[in-house]
This record gives sequence, C-alpha cells and structure tokens, in this order.
Amino acid sequence: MNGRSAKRNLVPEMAVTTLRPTARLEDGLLTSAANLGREFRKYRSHIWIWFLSDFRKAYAGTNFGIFWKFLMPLVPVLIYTLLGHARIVPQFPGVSGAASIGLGVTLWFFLSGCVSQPMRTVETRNSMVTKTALPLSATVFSGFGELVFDTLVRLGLVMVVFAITGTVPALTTPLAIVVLLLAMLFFFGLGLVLSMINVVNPDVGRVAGILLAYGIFISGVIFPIAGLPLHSVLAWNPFYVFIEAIRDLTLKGTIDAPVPTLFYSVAALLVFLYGCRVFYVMEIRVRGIL
Amino acid sequence: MLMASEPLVETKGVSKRYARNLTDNRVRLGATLRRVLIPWDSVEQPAQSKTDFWALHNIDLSVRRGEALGIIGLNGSGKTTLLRLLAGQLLPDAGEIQLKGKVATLIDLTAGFELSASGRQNILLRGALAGRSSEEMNAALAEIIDFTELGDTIDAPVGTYSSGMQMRLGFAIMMASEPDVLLVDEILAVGDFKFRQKCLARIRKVREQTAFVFVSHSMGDVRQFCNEAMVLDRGRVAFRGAPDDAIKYYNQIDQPKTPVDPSSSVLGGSSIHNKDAVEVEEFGWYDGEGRGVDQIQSGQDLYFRVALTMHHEPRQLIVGVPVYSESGILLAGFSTETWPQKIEATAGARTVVELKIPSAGFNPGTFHSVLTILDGPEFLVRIANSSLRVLPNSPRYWGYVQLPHEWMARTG
Repeated sequence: MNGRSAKRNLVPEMAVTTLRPTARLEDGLLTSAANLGREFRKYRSHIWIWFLSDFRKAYAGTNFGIFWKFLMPLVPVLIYTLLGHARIVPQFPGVSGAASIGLGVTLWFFLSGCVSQPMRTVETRNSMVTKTALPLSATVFSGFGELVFDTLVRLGLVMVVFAITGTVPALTTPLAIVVLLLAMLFFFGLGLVLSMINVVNPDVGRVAGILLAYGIFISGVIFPIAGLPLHSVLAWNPFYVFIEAIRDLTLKGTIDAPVPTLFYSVAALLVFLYGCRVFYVMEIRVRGIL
Repeated sequence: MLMASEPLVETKGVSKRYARNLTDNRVRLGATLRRVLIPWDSVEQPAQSKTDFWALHNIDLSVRRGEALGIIGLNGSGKTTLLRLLAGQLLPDAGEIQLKGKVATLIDLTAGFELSASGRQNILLRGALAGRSSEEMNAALAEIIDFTELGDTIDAPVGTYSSGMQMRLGFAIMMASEPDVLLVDEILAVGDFKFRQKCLARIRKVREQTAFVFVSHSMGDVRQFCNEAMVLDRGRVAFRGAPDDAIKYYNQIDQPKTPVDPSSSVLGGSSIHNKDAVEVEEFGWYDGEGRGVDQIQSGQDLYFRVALTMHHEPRQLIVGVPVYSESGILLAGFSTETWPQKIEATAGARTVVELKIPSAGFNPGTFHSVLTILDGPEFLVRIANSSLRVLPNSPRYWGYVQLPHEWMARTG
C-alpha cells in the first residue's frame, strides 16, 4: 500500500454533494442571495475573462479598435442631449435641457439594461453552461460588467455636458447615488425574475424588449410626464420614479415625489432578494431548456 | 470521518424525465417556476404528456474508492444523462445522488474552454469549474503543461489550438487534481496514438485511487478498466455484473434477431451488415479439404472463405479478418488491403475470396475473429465469425502464437 492509499483509509471532512429534485427549493430569500454571492466569488475569474472576451469581441476586426467601445454607448445619449440642447424636445423647468436629458437617458439605458441583460445572457449562454458545471449566474454577472462599463462611459459624457452647460451638481448628489444603487437592485432583481420566466415563455422576452426599447418615451426621461396622457398612472412607473428622483437630487437638491421614491426604495430590496431566490432556485433547472 | 469502504458515488432510485417536445418540457418547468414565484400557491405538476419519457428510471448504484463501474448500452439508453446527473450538470426528477470528495468529469473535454484566453489561463478557469482553488491549480500547473506536451503553445489562445490539442489540455486539467470521483464518458480517444497510451496509463493509475464511473461503447476498454459493468436499456438497469457477462448481455440486446456467438464480444460494439450494398452468402473457417471447421490442430493449414454478391460496383473492395484471443486481445490481422492484387467484384456477380494461413501458428486455445468487408473507408460488413478452437500438437507451448523459428547454438 502506498502512502496515498494509507492516507485515504480515513478521509476527514470530505465534501459531500447531495442532489435531489427539491434542491434549493427550501432556500429562502437571504440564503439564495448569499449563495449567488458565493457563486460570484467562486467564479470571479470566469466572470472577468468573459467580460474581457465580450469586451474585445465588440470591436474585433475593426480599424478603429477600442474606440468603438467608447463611441457606441455614447451615440444615443449624445443625440438625445443635442436634441435637449437645441430645445427640440420639451424643456424641464429650472435646469439645463441638455444636462437633464443626458443624465436621464444615461440612467434609462443603465436601468433598462439591468432588466434586459439577464434575459439576454440566459438566452444566449444556456447551451454553453449545460455542458459544464458553471452556474448561469456567472454569465449574468459578466454581462452586468459590460453594462456598468457602458454606463461609466456615458456618465463621462454627462459630466462634460454639465461642464459645458455650467450645471453644478447639487449637494444632495451623494443621496442620488444611494437611490441609483437601490434602482439598480430593483431592476436587476426584476431582470433575474424575467430571465427565468423567459425560458418558460419566450414571449415575455419579446414583450419586455419592446417595452424597454420604446418605454423611454413614456418614462418622463425625454418628455415631462405632466404632459403625457395618463400621467397620474405613469407617475408610478418605477423607471420614472427612480430616474426623476436621481435627477432631482443631482440637479435641484430636492425630491419632488418623495412618497413613490420611498415606496420603491423599500420595494427595491425585496424585489432584489426575490429575484435572487427565483434565479438561484431555477438556474439549475433551466439548464438545457433552450 | 469517512471510512474507505463507504461509497463515494451513490444513487438511490434516480430518475430523469424528458419530453421529446420542447413545449412539454417548458410546461413542466413552468409548473416548478410557478411554485417558486408563488410559494403559497399549491401547484400540481402537469400530467405526463404524450411525448414524455423516462431517460433514466429508478437507477441505484454505488461505487467505492478503487472500484470501477462501466456503463454500456445502446445510443439513447441514458448513459450520458446518468453521467451528467452524477456530475451535477442536471438535477434528477426523482431519487437522490450523493457524491463525496472532489469530482472530475471527462464528459466533454473542450466544453467550458474560453477560446480567447490562453491555455495557461484556461487551466485556472477549468480548475475553478471543477471546484479547485487557483492555489491548487497553480501548484499543478507545471505538471499539466508537461503532460499536455504543448510547450510554449500553452500561452497562445486556446482558440488557436487544434481539437486534439484542446482535448489534451482538457484531459490534463481534469486529471491533475487527484479526484476522488472520476466520471469518464467515451473520451479515451485523445490525440495521437502515443498520447492516447499516456492518457490510458494515467487513467489506469488514477482509477485505483478513485471511484471510477466509465461510459463507453468500447467493450475492450470496459473489460480493461472496470471490475463491474452495468447495461442500460431505455433508461433502466437491464443487467449488472462482471464486465464479460455484461458485454454478453449487451450484445444480446444489441442484436436481438441474430444468434449470439461468444466470439461476438470481440466486436466491441454493434455488428454491421449493409444488405443494400452486399449480400454475404457464406463465410467461415475451412480445412485443406474444404470442410467447414470450428477446431483445428495447432500448426495445421487453415483457410478462411467468404462468398459475397455486391449490389453496386465497389471502388476498392477490402476483405479483412482480425483474429482475437479469448480475452479480446488483437493477435493478428489479415487484410486484402496489403494484397497487391485488386479484388475484381462486379455488381450482381458472386465473388469468392479465400485466405490461406499455412501452418497456422496458433497455440492451443479458443480464438475469435471478425469478418470485415469495406468499400474504401466505408464498412459494409462487420460480423463475428464462429469461434475457432485450436488443439495442441506438442506438450509445451507459450503464449498465443507460435512463430516460425529455429534455434542455433555454437561453442567458442
């Protein structure tokens, strides 16, 4: 008997994996969120490599290379900002049109991306993870990294617009960052839920795609909500509530609609935890359902 | 504390259900999703649809360290599904799977490679997939690179590797970290011959230290690696026992309409007879008098004859007869491919091909053989011959064959 065999006659603390049909079903909101956090930590190398790989794929083979990675996210924000600057779209009282629209559009793309990106990633990477033990969550996290990069590039442009238009951020801007983080949790949680529903019913993804592509026009980002039909209903649109609160805190130093903002801020934590649970429980079950 | 005698792989009543229709799969998944979305809503599982089938049904198995279980079965019998369940890539629909220790899976060697990353980076990535820390993988890095024989190429993106190089890398990564459980799915054909031998040797070495579960269509490999084999038939365990018995059983279910000859185990898979291409009227071993034989004296002249009718004009007709020992070792091969003359066979005409083995040097024992007929690279026929028994003609002999030889001795 060699040394290794002898050592293995008694093996302490050997990891035991049990797989049952009910796996993860008993996990609650906090456990699921914590486990997703563990998956993030465990597969952080994969997440980083995928992020870099997707990042490079976006400009592979082009003459201008990485320049495209900066230009592409800027184009839509730039167009809307110019429209706001030229007063072609209605103006928001008391603030620069360009600054307000530039910031609003940037927030819209980020928050709508939080919803669409998990759906898109699960759709495109499910077949790949089926052949491995990789969790789907790792692929979603890597896609989220790209969304954050695009948003940082757009925020860079927004700062330039602030400088050009002489807009000075209000002292309550740090609070705007807190609201932004809550908004991110809300929409990312929603995206996690929808990504799983979309596997069962792919129509959901199509409907969400349409709403997120054109919803910007009824979200108060470009056109003030007061001028839109059904504005009392639209005023409870979470996109509007969060984006308006962040714009208010950044540009005016106040919140015009504190009640809906408070309501959705509390809801954000619940939606995020709920999304984590739905995703964590289902990610192992949707493998191979393409 | 885990006792060495405890199973490292154990399944109890494991079943996996699929539907042939994607919509039915989604309906079933939808019921689970509804249960997750609305935990207080009691949702009934949808009734079994017409396209539902059990890919696996009620599978019980246990494998301890040092044991090797071979899983054989026809295509679609559930072998790979079972392995994917054991690897944690799928959840069972019933029953329970328990795995203890580190699990290495050799199911799809190149799956999960990040093509834009270098071989070196992929070692860490694949290691993480298998639950290894980067410290563990860094410690094994030199050994892995050495094993793959990739040299400096290890720093090139994996996308630039040939499929053989990718498989070598995948194999080396999975085998590097001393697994407790090794799950292998028909991937022993890694790279060139030399590398394959290296892989086989590595598996043989690791096998003794692990609980080894091996899915294969190669009966020779199952016989060589496993001390127990299980035959799956339409998702159920049809037979479990010694590898030789399991292979015999498998051959029976593989060829239910053909009488089974013990020698058919050397086929190592399904028999082939493309009757649209060729009709085989008779074949077998004969003696010098032209009589069919199933036993000869060692050293006696031996003939093999096949009479066939082609249904098309063959471009390159090849007849071959590999001969195996009783335990399945290939001893000799006779093929018209090395015959300078071309077999003139025309469509619809009877052609007789005869092989003479003068003073056939088989030592006493039972020998199996296979009739193979090819048209170029395409196998038209691959069927087992009747076993041939060779009787002794001298009191002492060694090995399987006696080669022509003479002794010389001189002094000074």
